Amino acid sequence: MNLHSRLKDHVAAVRHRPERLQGYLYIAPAILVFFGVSLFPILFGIYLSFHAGYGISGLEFVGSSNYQLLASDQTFWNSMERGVLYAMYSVLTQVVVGVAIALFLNQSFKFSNVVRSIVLLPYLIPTVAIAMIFRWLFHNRLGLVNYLLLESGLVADPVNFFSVGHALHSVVWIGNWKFSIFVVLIVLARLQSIDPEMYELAKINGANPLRRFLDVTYPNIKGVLFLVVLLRSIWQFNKFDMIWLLTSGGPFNETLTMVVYAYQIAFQQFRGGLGASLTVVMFLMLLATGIVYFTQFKPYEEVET
Amino acid sequence: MDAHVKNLGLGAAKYAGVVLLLVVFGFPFYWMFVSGIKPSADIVQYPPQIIPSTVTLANYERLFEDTKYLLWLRNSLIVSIGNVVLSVVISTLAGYGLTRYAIPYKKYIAMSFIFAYMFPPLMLGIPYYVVFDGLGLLNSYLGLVIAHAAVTIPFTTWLMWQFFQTVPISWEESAWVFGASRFKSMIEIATPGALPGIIASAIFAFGISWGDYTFALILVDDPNMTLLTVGIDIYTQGAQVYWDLIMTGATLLVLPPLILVFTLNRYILAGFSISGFD
Repeated sequence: MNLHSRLKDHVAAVRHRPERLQGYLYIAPAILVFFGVSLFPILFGIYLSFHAGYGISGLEFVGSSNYQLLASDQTFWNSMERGVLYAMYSVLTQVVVGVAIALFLNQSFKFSNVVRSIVLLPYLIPTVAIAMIFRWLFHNRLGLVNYLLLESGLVADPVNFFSVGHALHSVVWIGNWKFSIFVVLIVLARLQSIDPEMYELAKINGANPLRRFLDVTYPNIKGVLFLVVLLRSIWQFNKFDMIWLLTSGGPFNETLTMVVYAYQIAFQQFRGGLGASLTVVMFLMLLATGIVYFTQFKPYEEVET
Repeated sequence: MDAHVKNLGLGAAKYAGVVLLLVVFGFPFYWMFVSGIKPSADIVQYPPQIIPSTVTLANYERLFEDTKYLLWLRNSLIVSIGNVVLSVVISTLAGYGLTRYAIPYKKYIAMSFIFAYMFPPLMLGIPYYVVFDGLGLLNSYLGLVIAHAAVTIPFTTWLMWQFFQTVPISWEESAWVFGASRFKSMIEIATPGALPGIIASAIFAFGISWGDYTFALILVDDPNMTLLTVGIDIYTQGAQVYWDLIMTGATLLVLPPLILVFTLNRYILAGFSISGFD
């Protein structure tokens, strides 16, 4: 090895060392935030789930008794069923509605840009505003929807949309008004990258619209649909604000999902440890979903690693 | 002839679809706005007036003068701006570092960010309440900004990581030839190149704080520190529900995102397709 190349190696090695250090400096604040306000609270939450009482000084170790309490609590099992049902019902309908709207918006028509903007709007509007608008529209005495239903003769008496038997459907569909748009956004972006010639080719070969959807559209959007179903399942399972603002979990626990129950336990019954143990159970359920997500989808391959 | 008839049929179906979409997604906004500018007596009138016979701004005056709305608006703005500044600065630095430096275990860092998408809000909310109680951060701007940034930073860092990859390193290398330091080239060359990503991150950070209800509900109980989202809901809880005030309050809550969507939608769509956003 001649002197020149040895010198070059040396320079490269010296340059590399401080560079790597500098790189750490750039990501240090983000890592600190991640450890300080995400990871630490999660671990502290797990610690809390083995304690009773509220506040740092008043904590008392109780072993696994919080988990035993949950296991023997019928409302807890009911909330698990409601949580899973709410998530599955929401995600399934959001995907169907979202794909349909995306297919429709993917066509060209007059003012398609204006229509697109209006359709995409609900997704960026605060949930509180949406909950208020629909509580007002669906009000059982003064609501416009009930007025139109009565006037058109579709119903004989005003419908109480937030009563037993209706509340779960109302909560799901009001949520869908906002969250289907997530599906629209992702699917529409994918649809616009499909080569139109593929449809022409299918047409020439005599494929009807259904065949064209199954043979051209579906294989193209299959990948993003998988992503959408996973993300939306996690987010719907965790959804608190929409349900709390519309029904607070009622009537008679019909919309009492796991998150809503955890809030009631922690902040209305003031049993922080028990509430924390419920969120730990939720987290374990999500973890199982997450493992599927990571092994099947490999999202981290999207970035240069 | 046959094809012509078929085309007409398809055209009619298309316009029926457009009308349906506009009614379903546009009308609720119209109804909110109109309910806010009707006189209080008209809003509870039955049958409802779909087109108001009288229009007034009295509800807005009442909202500003008789309620704490302006105070809550100020709180929401302070927290939102705080989160925008904190999240954008941290995630721009992190995005740059992750793109430009050979940092080991990058794959695991990326995975942990995506992992953060999965936490139930209350899994953070309950520990925050206990810890913030101990640190005196309940009912404080700082506490809310920290909670919002924890949710925002995984999204925005992911976003910046992707956006910096679109800025060619050769731009920076030519600056180094002229003696610019690494930090200087990042500030003066790479960051302007990734500006669309920064705008998208700022919009997301603002959106998360502006729309947050859950943390605002858990971490604040002082009516003077309440955020808009929780404040509006207060009017639904009394014996008498003030729908006129609720609809005016909701209109103003919707306004900033509305303006952002119509002025900056290309950044929103670009950022959105990269990071996803609940």
